[in-house]
Order: sequence, then structure tokens, then C-alpha cells
Amino acid sequence: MKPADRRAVGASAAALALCAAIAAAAAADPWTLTRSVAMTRGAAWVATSCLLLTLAISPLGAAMPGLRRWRRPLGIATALTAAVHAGLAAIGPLDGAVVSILSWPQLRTGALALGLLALLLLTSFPRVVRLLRIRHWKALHRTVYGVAALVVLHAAGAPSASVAGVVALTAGAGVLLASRAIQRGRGG
Amino acid sequence: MSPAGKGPRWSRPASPQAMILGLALVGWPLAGADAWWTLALAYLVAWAGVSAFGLTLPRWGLALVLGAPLLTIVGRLPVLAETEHLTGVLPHLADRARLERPPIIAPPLVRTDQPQRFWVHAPGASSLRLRLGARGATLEATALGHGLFFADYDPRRHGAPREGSGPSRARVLTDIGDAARELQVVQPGPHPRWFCRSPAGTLAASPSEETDELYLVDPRGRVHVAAVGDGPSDCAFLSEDRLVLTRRYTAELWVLDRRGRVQRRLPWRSGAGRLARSPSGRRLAIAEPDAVAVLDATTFEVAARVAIARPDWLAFADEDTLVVSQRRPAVLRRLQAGWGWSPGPPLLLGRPAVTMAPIDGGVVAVTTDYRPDGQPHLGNHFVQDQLLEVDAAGWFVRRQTLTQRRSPRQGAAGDVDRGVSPMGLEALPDGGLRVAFAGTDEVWRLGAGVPEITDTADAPAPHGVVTFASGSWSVASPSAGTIATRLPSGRWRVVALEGGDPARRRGERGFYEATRSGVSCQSCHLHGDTDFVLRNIGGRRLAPTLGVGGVLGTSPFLRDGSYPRVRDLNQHLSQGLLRGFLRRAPRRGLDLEAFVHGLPRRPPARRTIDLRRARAGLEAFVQARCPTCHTLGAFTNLSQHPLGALFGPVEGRAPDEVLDTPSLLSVGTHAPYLSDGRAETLADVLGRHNEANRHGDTRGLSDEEAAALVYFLEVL
Repeated sequence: MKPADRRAVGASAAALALCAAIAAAAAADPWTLTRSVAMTRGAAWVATSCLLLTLAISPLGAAMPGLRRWRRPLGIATALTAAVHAGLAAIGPLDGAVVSILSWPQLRTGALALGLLALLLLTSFPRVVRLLRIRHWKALHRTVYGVAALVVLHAAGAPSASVAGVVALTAGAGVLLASRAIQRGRGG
Repeated sequence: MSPAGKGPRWSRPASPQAMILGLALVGWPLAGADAWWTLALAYLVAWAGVSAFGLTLPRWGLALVLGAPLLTIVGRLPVLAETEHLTGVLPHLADRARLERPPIIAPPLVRTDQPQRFWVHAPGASSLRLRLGARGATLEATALGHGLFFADYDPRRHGAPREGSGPSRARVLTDIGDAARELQVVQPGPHPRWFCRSPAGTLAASPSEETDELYLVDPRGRVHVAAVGDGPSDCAFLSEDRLVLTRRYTAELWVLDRRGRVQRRLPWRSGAGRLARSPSGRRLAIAEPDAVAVLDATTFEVAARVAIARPDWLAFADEDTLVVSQRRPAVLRRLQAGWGWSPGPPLLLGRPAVTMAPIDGGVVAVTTDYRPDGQPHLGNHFVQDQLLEVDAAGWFVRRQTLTQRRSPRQGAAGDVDRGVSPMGLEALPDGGLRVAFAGTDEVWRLGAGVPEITDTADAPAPHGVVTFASGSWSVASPSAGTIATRLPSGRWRVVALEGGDPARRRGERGFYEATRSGVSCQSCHLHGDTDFVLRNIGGRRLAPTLGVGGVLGTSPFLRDGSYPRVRDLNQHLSQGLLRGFLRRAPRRGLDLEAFVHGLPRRPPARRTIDLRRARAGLEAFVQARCPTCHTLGAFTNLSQHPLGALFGPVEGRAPDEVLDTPSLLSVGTHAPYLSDGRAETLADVLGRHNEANRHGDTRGLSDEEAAALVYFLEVL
């Protein structure tokens, strides 16, 4: 296995293991609803953390070039844990009302973010990029910034989401987007 | 086109990223520019196009083609905001943030005119005192456990937290530390509403519950203001020189003279509401919270006390027949002396009486629709104001008079601009009727022939109307705080009672004002509360009308949380669906919001609390996981949930229907329950209507615990 793939597998495994640990801790809750909400929310925060770390690579990479090799693994981990979050939501808090994913703005925003992440996941593999003859790969992957904005909106509207957490997420995403924009403006 | 990297900067080719972004912004308006997914789609299509065909333009060319699309996008931003629920996100987050930072005080509104119960959630504290503002007493709070405390506030004993209306810095003093929180204080102004009239028509009176005053009006329109103690609710003249006053918050009846001076205080049950006087004056009837008392007007001896749940209006059709209206069920009840004042079969109205007055041999009741089978009318936002003449002997509706109509001043075809929201009724000696219309600022004199219409510009949204023996008549406007008297000469004498916040007063007037469709807020939200009617709103489903009080700090609004701010209801509903207003009012939405935010919740179902039962109930509340969404303190975390996820399949309802978590404060007074009123009692909510066990973990509760939980909810 190439080192790049090893890093991707390692990051994804770590993120999924974290989701599993949260799920195991939540499993002790005897009531279905709070149990499923805890699992879903836990996966959400793991996915969001992976996303923020992915976004942080670019501004931090200017000072620590070695970090750049972790962007792809973290991006893959983001997509996988986001899928876990969506799956847990569908069988847990949204069980009986999965159609809400299309009709509720907050859920629709999350579904759109997941769809874009799936596209980015697919095009994270060089073999696929060559097969599909993808040009302007960077322009496609810059949609991750749009994903970040969608995730902020999705979290802001989530039932029972902590406002403090949403504010922290918004601030974090905002700082990362701004620093990337400044870096790009300077030709970075 | 210049070669890349050469020539002026603006003529160089745009980068692929700029091309993709630019083309996406060009394509987005074509896809509607009203949702995020269309933006994503436009971006991906643009990316595919640039990738596949190598599309490129000079920078100036790209900037040129972006002009019109950008303007379109800017114009569509409101639509985008509505589609993606972006409007009001900040107020909603602010309300949620307030509920996440303990100690939490609920409700966040302090009214200086009535007792209230405050709840404080201070986790870890075992003792707590509450100071609502810089002025006023410090309240000792009672602990129920889990960091939950309650404190009963009585403005008469504890004083107002501040001078006038506005924000107040409350202090929460606990054994683990102190904290400051902001509350809103509302000191309402004078609110004369309905009148009682002396037998010979030489004097009339109107109490103002908000300011503890009685306004005595003479035929020349002069008003004498008397301070009459806490919460006067209604009056009735015993003779030309004496009148009796019921009181909402004090367990007393007062007998007063013509100047409002107290002659006698009689012990009575507290919560007394409306009064009625029999034609001869020998009898009185008093509406109490759960009964109607019929008594001798001289000795005040109770002839009968009849159990009737929440009686509303009272009127003696004749000496031996009393008619009582109820809001829920929407019926009239007839109590007759010959039957020991026991209520006979009810007369179904379909909608509750807005007001009622005695006429010869019967009563006249105002309703917003009449369905003798009691079933809800399925028309969207259906309102049809009418006067129902009820024959008391035969016990049937003998005449139905629709009042809404059009006049030449209507702005567009189909608009209604007369006869909306009849609010005050008075039978005249010649058999006619004088009717005040709160929706259209007018008073009609109904008799044989065409109604005589008088506009009441100085008394907007008029409520009570009274005619004196001299021929003059007075009308009261609670929203403006005025009593206007039309003298026999045709001139008006207007007395403006000082006090009250101007924005809130304008908003109150707007609450009663009719839209061009003939519907006002009052039409369904009866006197700021609810008429309990199941209504079709927007052709979606039937839902019981919500009360309007206690909404401050609970964004978003309505059962599905579809309105982030109260002012948005004005924009979308009143100005849009209901076709706007005849009168221009630039700040209408903001004023309405100020008024509605200042309305208090109903008092809890249980005024006195058995602490042992309440504590057991709180344990059951926590055990059933209710605080997951009905968090301690405000008893809501303002979250939204899909119906299907909470309740499983519900007949006739879509599983993705949005349910906004309501606050449970005053829930004991809000039957029926759940978003469509399908649960008749709180016990039904926890039992029969929670088969999926997702609306709380109630399956594990014993019968005793479930009963304790219901008790606790009634205490809130």
C-alpha cells in the first residue's frame, strides 16, 4: 500500500473508531431517542472536526509543508464520517420521517453537503480522476469551502444543537476561510 | 483576445476557477436562484462545461456577462432566505442561547398588573432568591429538585421591578453564586373595555384590570377615575348610586358608590370574572373560574352555585333565566330558576361567543361563524362575523345577522371594510341594538331599516358601548385608552387616559384591525387568547388556534415554527394572504410584535402547589426524559422535529410535518393537546398518543408516576 493510501486508511479508521466509541458510550442509554441522538450528534462532531482540520491544512501548510500530505486523508475521513452521521440520523432521530431530508431546509442543506462530499470523495482517487479525465480538479475540490458553509447552516438549524457549539463552528470555519482567502490573495 | 499573460490585465483570459465561478453565477438565476442546491448544480455544470470545452473569456468579458445575473441574484435573495429558512436565524439562535446559559428564568416577561409564576433553572443550587429588577422585593424561590425553582410574584406585594416598561436586570441569588439576567417589564396603560350601566341611564362604568381603576362616565362624557384595588374585572349597578365590582386577584367583591368609593367589601372566591344583573335588579350572576354563582343582589346570598367549566359571558334573558357562554366547548348554557338553576341542554354555536348581551326574551351573541352541529368549518382561515339572536324560552337561534360588508371606500373588488369584529353590544329601549365594531372602528345602530353607522376615529378598535337616558352614548377603546362620548348635538367628547407604551398601543389596535378579507388577529385569537376552534389554516390540516400570550423569547412561531418573528406574520399573512389593510401604518409589523411580546401567559391551572406531588411529578418528568426537548426553566429548547419521528404514522398527516417544541408553561390550560388537538387531556398525550414511546420515555412510568407528571405539568 502506498504511504498516501496508508495515511488515508489510517485517518479514516481513526475517525470511524471515534464514532464507534461514541456510539458504544451512547448505547448504554436505554431510551431509543436520546441514544440515537447521541450517536448521530457524536458522528456529526467527528465529521465536522475532520472537515475543519482539512480546511486548516492549507493555511497551516505554508508554515509546515509536511501537513499537506494529510489533506486528502482527512478529506476522505470527513466524507466517510459524514455518511455515518447521515445514516445514523436516518435510522435514528429521523426514523419514520426520512422524507424530511428533502423537505426540511436544515436537512436539505446537510444532504447537499453530503452529496458534495461524496463527489469529492470519488474524485480523491487518482485512478478515478484519470478514468474520468477530470480537468480543473482543484476547482472542483474548492467546493469544500461551500460544504463548510452548508455544514454551518445545517448545524445552526439542528434540533438540540448547542448554540455555543454552532458559534464556535462558525468562528472556526470563518477564520479558516478568511485565512485561505488571504493566502490566495498573496499568491499562495 | 490577448495571449495569456500578455497585454493589459483586464484583457487577459480569466482563470478556469474564475470562469467556473462566473458561469455558475450566470447559470444560477436560470435555475431559480432560490435554493442552495441550485447554486451547487450551477457550479457543477459550469465546472463540467469549462472542463469539457475549455470555455474561456477575457476578464472584462466575464465581468460584463455577470452584471445582469448578479442583479437577478440580489433580487432573489429574499426568496432564497425564505426557502432556506435564513430569515430570523439570529433571533432564534439568540432565544436558544438564552435558554442554554443557566440560571434560566422563564418567562422572560414581567407584567406589573398581575400575579405571575417564574421558573428558574439553576443546576447545583439548593437555595435561590430572585430579584426581578432594581426596584421591588426579592422573592424567595421554592426548590423542587434538579435545580428547578419557582417563585410567585405579586406586583401589589412585591412592587414593580422598574419604573414603566422596558428591560430590567434581574438578579438570581443562589448558594453557589449570583447571576444577572435580562427580563422585559411591561406596565400596561389604562384599558377601559366594556361598560355597566345604571338602571336609569345616568351613569356608566368601565373597569381597567391593567391599572386597577374604574372609569365612571356621565352622559356629558366626563370621566371620573377611581382607584379600586387589584384586578377589577367587571361591574354591575345595584341601583342608581351603588355598583358591585368583581376582582380577578383578590377574594373579595366590592360595593362602591357613584364616585367609586368603597362602601362594602364582601369575601368572595378569587378569580371572579363577569357579572350580570337581572332586569329588575333583584339578582346577580358572577362567573367564577369553574362555576357560576346566582345570588341575591341585596343580601348577596348565593341562591345557587352551578359547576360550569370556565364560564365566559353572562346575561339574564329574563328574571328567571340566565344564559352563560363557554369558549370550550363553544356553547350557550341556559340556567333557569324553575330548575334550581341547573344547566339544561347546551345550545351549540360552533364558535364561542365573542361577546353577549341580553335582549327582550333572549340574548344576542357575537360569533365568527355559526355551526349548529358544532363541527369545524373547513374553509381556509374561515371567518364570518355575525350576530345570533337566541330565543331563551325556545332555546334556539331565531335570527342570524351577518355583519361584514363593503362600502364605496373599499380599495379593490371583494374587499370588506365594514362590520368586522363586533365587540360591544347594547340592547336599546326601542328594540334596536347598538354594536361597536373593533375591526372597522365604527358603531352601528341597528333597528328596522339600514344601519346608522358612526365612525369612531377617536376610539379605534372600540369595545364597549353604552347609551345614556339623555341620548348620548359612549364607546371605550382599550387599545387607545380612550372613552369617547357622542353627545346629542353630534359632537364628540373624548377623554384620553394617560399611560402605556405607544408602540404597544398601536400594536394592540393593529391586532383588532380588520384586513381587507374581513379577518383580523382577533377573529381567531380571541382577546389575545384563543377561541379553541379547530381551523383549516392554509389548506394543510385542522389545528386548534393557539393563544398569543407568553411568546416572548420562543422564536420561531406557530406550531410548525414557520415564522421566525411575529412581524413576519404581518408581512406574509396579513399583508399577503389576507390582502392588507385599508389604513396605512408604516410600523405595523413592529408594533404588532411589541404588543404580542407584551402579552402574558395564562395563569397556571394550579395556583396553589402541593410540593410533595410537584416534586414527585418533576422526578417523573425527568425520568420520562421530557427535558430532552422541554428543558427545565422555559420547558422548551425551541427545537423542531418531524411528526413521524416523534409519533410514528398519524392518520391524515405527512410524516415530515414540522413540529416546533412548545413551552409547557401554562400547558394545563391549553386543552386540547398536540398539534391537531387529538389529545383531549395531558394523560392522553403521555399514554394513548405516545405509542411509539418517542415523545418522552413514558412507557416505563407507573400509573402513580404518570399522575404525578400530569400534576406537575398543571403546576407549570
